[in-house]
Amino acid sequence: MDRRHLLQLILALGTTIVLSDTAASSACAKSLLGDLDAGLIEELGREYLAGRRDSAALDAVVKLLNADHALIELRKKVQADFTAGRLVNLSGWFVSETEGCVFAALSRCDV
Amino acid sequence: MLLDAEELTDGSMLEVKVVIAGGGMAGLLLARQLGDAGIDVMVLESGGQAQDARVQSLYAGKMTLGGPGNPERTLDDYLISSRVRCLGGSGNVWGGKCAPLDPLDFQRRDWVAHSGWPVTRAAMQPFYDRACDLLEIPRFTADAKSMVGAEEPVFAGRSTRFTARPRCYTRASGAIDGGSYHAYKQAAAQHERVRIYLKANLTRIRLSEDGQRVTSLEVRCLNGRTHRVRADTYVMAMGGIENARLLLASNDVHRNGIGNHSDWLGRAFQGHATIERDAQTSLMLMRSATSLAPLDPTSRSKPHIVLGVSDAAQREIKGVNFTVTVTGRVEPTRDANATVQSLATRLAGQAAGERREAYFMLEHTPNRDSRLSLMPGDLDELRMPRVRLDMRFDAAALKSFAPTLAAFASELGRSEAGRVQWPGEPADLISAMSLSRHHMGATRMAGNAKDGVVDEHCLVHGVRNLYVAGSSVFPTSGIANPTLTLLALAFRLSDHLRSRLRA
Repeated sequence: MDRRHLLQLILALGTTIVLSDTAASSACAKSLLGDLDAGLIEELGREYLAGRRDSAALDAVVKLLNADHALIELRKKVQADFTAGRLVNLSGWFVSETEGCVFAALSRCDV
Repeated sequence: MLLDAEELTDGSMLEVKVVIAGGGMAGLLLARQLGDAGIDVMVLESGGQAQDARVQSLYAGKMTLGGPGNPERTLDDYLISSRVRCLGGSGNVWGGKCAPLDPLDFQRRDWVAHSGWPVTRAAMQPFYDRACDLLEIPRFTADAKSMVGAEEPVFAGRSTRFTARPRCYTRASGAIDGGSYHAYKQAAAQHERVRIYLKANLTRIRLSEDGQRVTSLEVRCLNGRTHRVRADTYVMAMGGIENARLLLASNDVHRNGIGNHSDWLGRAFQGHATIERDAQTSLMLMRSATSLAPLDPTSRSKPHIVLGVSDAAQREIKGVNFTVTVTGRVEPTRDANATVQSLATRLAGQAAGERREAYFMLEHTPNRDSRLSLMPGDLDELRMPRVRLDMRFDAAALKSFAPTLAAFASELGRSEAGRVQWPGEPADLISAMSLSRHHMGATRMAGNAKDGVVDEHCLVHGVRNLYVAGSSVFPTSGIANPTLTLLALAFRLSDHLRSRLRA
């Protein structure tokens, strides 16, 4: 995906952009990010966004990243996704929809 | 006794009670078993005691591999490289992996066309046990834990959709322990009731005029001599391709070939294939490395586990048999793979996961378009028509791969056991397949002539004294390596023949 298309996608997910700024700096986000490479997170976030148009799941994750007990809630949400078969394939890996949203929310590609 | 057919006087007529064409694992076991019952047996083996390029070239033919929506592959060399034409047959290069077919593999599944054996797994169990004893491996039980000595570590009983499937290795395999396999061959060759003719190629099965009885076999040697063999009972044990080839080529009484009442002969050919893409097929397992030891397939001294889709999940998905085999450890990286793994483990509150290479296996279900046929205008050195093998996976089986893998991914995630990596698209499945040396189904077993070539006793439908031994009789082939099952069937056939010949 080129930058122009990415910007179009980001515009389509306007609500998320604002929330993601704060999400990326939340305590939960920092614990998830740890020492991970920001460039790789961005790539995975872009990959997730490129395959998705519905921002509802992403909005929910962004809100969770700012909430108390975020990790506990995210963990439950991941398990619920797998139970319900809500899977996405990122770089060949089958992950939950929630994990895809976490990459998108944490990525720098949408700010 | 080992004899050389090239040294017989040209035009010899040989007579014996039972003649077995093919001196591979099934043929040699059957010969021993009948010999032990005091029955005189002759084995006709095409090759000598070691592989020979000229003899191997008799296997040459044409082959393609394909499936709907996938590019077709040409694999002519497979017909030569996947089997061995000398005493001991393909057992000379067999890796020794043993597993029985699963109970569901024997059953008729409404959602799998032409599925089901006329024999149940329960009825096969005593013969599987005898095959295990012969190969000096533990008997397979319904309880994988008691066999492996450890619980399946990935799901640890928390999944009803995937389950442990034990596998183990025998020493009696040519690729691993030549000495043990030599002893296996010698047990037949030195039997006082067994005569093995080497360099004796079966080229035609002669039938009575009414087509209901074999009257003799034509044997041709590469030195130009021809002989005939007359017996009370005839058994074809030449391997999953040659059995069908000889029955198709012996068409002077039954124009479509012997046992081909319903156009099944040569059809429903099945093989086993591993599915993987280099460095892109793996599992990330949130378990300690030591706890994963029962999955290790390289430990030849004890049974190991592969992960298989359960009967319930096959019914739910309307899928086919499917396994995941976990292999070597992947060294940690700093790339997108590591990032995906790290997020998953952190969200689960786990320590770092263990990444392992893996491969998948998908059942090759019976498909009439997966077919062995003859090329009448293309003859080998013995003037036998060469074979053409068009090996085809059907749309339903290929289509079931994605939902089955998704179910596996869901179970891994739901139980916080890990993640699975597979980047392929449906159109990549055939190109990602590596074929095993397993040839099954081309003379399939069925309760009646309408649905197959041989009956439940491996007797060719409509012919009173002609049997087929080996994996060509498998109506479905599951995912288990076929040798244990073909040996179990050889024990079963020997019991049947002992009883029939005594009567």
